Amino acid sequence: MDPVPDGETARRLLAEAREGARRAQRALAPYYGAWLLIWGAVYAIGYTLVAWDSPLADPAFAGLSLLGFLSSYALGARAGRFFRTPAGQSLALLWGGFGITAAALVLASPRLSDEVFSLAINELVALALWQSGALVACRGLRLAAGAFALLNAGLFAYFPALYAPALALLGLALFLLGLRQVSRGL
Amino acid sequence: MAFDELIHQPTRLRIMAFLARLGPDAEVEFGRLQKSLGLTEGNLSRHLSKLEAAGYVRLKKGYRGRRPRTWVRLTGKGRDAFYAHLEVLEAIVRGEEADAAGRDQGGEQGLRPRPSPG
Repeated sequence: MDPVPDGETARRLLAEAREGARRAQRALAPYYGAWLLIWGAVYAIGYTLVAWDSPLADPAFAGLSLLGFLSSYALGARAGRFFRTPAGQSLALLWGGFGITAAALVLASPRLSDEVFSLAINELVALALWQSGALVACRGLRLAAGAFALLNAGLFAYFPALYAPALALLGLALFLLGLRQVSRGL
Repeated sequence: MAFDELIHQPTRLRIMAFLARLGPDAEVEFGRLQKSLGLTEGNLSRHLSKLEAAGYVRLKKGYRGRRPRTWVRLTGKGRDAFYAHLEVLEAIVRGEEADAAGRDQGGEQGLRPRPSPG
């Protein structure tokens, strides 16, 4: 190959570099996508049951959340078999801390109404998502976390009747987004 | 800016781009890198050896359970060289586009009627 390329070759090589970066993104996408799938399903099913006032809502939500938490950790461990990043290790610590705080909130839950418990846990989720966005330098995740914090508080305070249906819809949107990400990575 | 003949090779450029996209200090397992880039084991090994000899990547051997694993990481030197090389490629493309624009302008001037002598 000629050492200094002409414009056409340089364009082709830049496309080659973009392809390499795209493949890295695609290799990671199924893990992010699966995480969105899991939590999208938890929110969609859990808040649909709450919106319907189902007696199953509380136990189902608790069970699904625990399952979601365990599968998220299993997913992180699987990703760790192939990729090791400083951000990945910090994320594991951050979400471990979230798990402890959420468990503490569950301990206090007998003295809290379902609505206040839901508000508090979702604000914790928003904070953890914002910090995750800061760790992986993803502005989109930080913006989404900020929007979620405001949406959660705004619905709780001003549109309580819409709180559960809106969060169920949000869960469905996350689930579909996750499905798209996972299928892209396949 | 520095043109780098080692990174210039398309497969090595793709490897460097993959590693750079993972972020600073990130490591990828050899088998996963091979699968993601669609390379054979021997081909990837050869390219990584050259990049390692130049100090652009670091290979770390270890075990996960009983299975031997090799982890690949882009070094700071490799990252700098990769981005510098991309800048050169982008400058070449920009330069050619600017030349083409200049030629287009020249062409238009050439179409203008010439002032009649005297």
